[in-house]
Amino acid sequence: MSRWHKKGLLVVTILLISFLAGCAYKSVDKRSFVVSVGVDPAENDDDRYKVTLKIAKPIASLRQATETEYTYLTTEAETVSEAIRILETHNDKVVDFSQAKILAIHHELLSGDLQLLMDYFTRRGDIQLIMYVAAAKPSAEEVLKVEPILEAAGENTLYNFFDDTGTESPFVTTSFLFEFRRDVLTFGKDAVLPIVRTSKNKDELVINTALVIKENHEPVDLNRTQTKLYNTFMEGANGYGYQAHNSGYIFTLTFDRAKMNYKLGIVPGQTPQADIKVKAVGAISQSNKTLSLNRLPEYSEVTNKELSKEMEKLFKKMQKEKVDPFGFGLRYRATRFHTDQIEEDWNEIYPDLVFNVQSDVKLKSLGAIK
Amino acid sequence: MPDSTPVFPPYMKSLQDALGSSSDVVQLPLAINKAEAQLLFVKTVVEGSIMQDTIIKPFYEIADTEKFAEYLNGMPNHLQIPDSEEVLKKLVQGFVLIYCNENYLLLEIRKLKNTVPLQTVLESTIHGPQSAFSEDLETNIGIIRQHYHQPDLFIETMELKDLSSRAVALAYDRKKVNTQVLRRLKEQLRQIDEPLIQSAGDLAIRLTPRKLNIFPVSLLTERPDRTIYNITGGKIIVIVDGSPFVIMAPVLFFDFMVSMEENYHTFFISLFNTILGWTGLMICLLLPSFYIAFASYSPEVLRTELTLSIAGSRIGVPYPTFIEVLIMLLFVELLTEASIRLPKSINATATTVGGLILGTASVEAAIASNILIITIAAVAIANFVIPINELSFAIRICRILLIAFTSLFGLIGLISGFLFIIIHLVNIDSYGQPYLRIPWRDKSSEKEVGSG
Repeated sequence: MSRWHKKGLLVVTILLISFLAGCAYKSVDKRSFVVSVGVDPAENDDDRYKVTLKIAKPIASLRQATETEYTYLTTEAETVSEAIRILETHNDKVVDFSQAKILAIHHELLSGDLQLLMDYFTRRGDIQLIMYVAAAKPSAEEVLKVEPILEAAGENTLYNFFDDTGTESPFVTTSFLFEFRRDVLTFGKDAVLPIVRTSKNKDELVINTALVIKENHEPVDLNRTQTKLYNTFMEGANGYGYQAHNSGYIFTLTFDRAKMNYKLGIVPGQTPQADIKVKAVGAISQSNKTLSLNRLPEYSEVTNKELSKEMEKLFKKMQKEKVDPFGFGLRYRATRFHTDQIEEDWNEIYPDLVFNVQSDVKLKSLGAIK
Repeated sequence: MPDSTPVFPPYMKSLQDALGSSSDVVQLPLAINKAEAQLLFVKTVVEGSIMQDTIIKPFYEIADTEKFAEYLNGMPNHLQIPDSEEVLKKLVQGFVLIYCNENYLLLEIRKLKNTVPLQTVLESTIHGPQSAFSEDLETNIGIIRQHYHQPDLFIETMELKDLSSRAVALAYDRKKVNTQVLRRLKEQLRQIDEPLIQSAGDLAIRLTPRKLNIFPVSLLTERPDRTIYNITGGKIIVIVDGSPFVIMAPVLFFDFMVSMEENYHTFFISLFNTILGWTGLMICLLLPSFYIAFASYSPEVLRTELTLSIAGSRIGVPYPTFIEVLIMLLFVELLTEASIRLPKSINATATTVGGLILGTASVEAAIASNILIITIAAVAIANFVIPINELSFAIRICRILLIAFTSLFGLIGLISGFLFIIIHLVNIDSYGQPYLRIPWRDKSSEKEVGSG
């Protein structure tokens, strides 16, 4: 073969390759971006799930658009994947999950078999690390369909809630899909999901409570205070809104830093104990009485007592409900010699565990009144 | 010897016949008392006033053939007669042939043109020297000598074998130069077989044995300070007569990313400038491909807002992204070319009309998306941040290569295309020196430069 033949062949090959480009090449305008996925129990008895996809409609000029334009696709099917396959036929564009960051699950579904529900999502490589999971009340479809008044064009309120770019409230629990799956499957630690509620006239989303999820177990509700305490000491959240009522004082505190350490003292034949140390640094942001700067240690003490009581209440409630969002069981498994019956051992120990909470709050200031 | 009319010597006659009856060929007999001499020269290349001062006036003052011959022999610019072929060449280069006392003599009285140093145009700096090289070889050598007072600075002149017989000079520091490179460069200069070479750019291309190059393997500069900086770094400078640019070899890729401005600022400012330059290079090279990759293959890389914004701005655009990019890129390339070719007084109009109106109109007409217009504008601006023009031309070519790769294989294609460029850069060499070598300057050499 001469040199020119070879060159000619190369040119022809390149030309032929360029015709092969078609399959993966799909412009953004030929894709529908799913921003949220909602799963509800089916209304129809033959099916099991009702899946809602919230799809963003591209807007030519975001600045001139007055409201976000979303469209919703809903269908019912026996499984989640089947529902999504059906929904793909409802849309002329490729359904693209690469930006899907919210998975809202109807709160009733969380008590059932999580495996069947979650499997489709956890097997998708593209969304595991970006998707946030939330429990929806009254239903996932209703939560997704809320388009809050404050939501600007091109924005998604739920993203702002969870990804710390918007609000950073200690009431908002954040759980990624991979975290949720890991916690559900791990013996000794249970998953906590935020509850997303719609307001009465369906124009706001409210997130300030959470659910503790354990497989094949009824979900346990955390109230607002408990959610806040869980977020502060397990997730490192901080901010306003810690109330302390004690010895006639009513304080509202701001925590800058908060930390929890614990040690399990489990010796055969003795009552199992958990020594929990709670540390926080903060300031008083509101009080019902006039305060004096040199009595700060006293105020810290007042706060300490209140905080210890609240924490102990939370631990005891979790113990009573037989769930373990703080991962005491995981710690037990990690620090003991592994045997076949370690899980049963823990199940016996946990109901008798005694919590000794010691809190150490350092108040730095009384605010900035001059 | 007759006394009235001077005899026209036969050798001179034959030379004049060979030159033909061009209107600027002058044959001038001089005679006073018994003294006589004959001059033959081409008046358009000879400096008349110098000839008047150094030949004609002394002749009449001395008024003696023998003494005048002695005088001529004492002049520093005289040359012994080579063969007649060579003599003819010398005559058209600005030599004067003198017949005196039955002897022939060549004197160099070349008319010098363009000896004024020009303003820097292509590599202008704020704080650095503002004047560039001139278009005259000797002046340029003079500029280098005046900036680098070292006895080790060595100048070698030679003549190209092409029709223009252009004079070429090599300048280098004898102690610092890499002799292997020098040998190779001289070899290349000798081997050049081109009918016509007119400028340094021309010569630089002929000096490389590889014909299908993207990246330049020698650097053209108009700045004396860059030239001196590189001489101290052991590089060889090739100066071409009639060109305001000099050629530097061997070069590294990183030499093209150095703006002389960086030497004239404090550390952090020049660091910032360097980073800016490299960012410009990367934007220029990668941004259009990134647009294609993100808009057509991997929208998951971007934030949701940006993805939706791109999707929104592409509403109504009929062509796939890569055609969109190629169309807009073509416009920008045309614009750049047009503003180079146009006279300076009207090129601002072309840029304004092209840049502003074309961009807005193409968005209005849904030929291109808003985001793409921003991308292309950023690329066009970034192109001019690259300090050396030759590199920015090369980058423009590579950009198209990357666009092709990305259009075919997405983000993976972009990565492999980039890898291809790196592999190519690693593969090529500049006169035997690796092209992509990182120029670690060792401390001792820096000190030497400082003390010198």
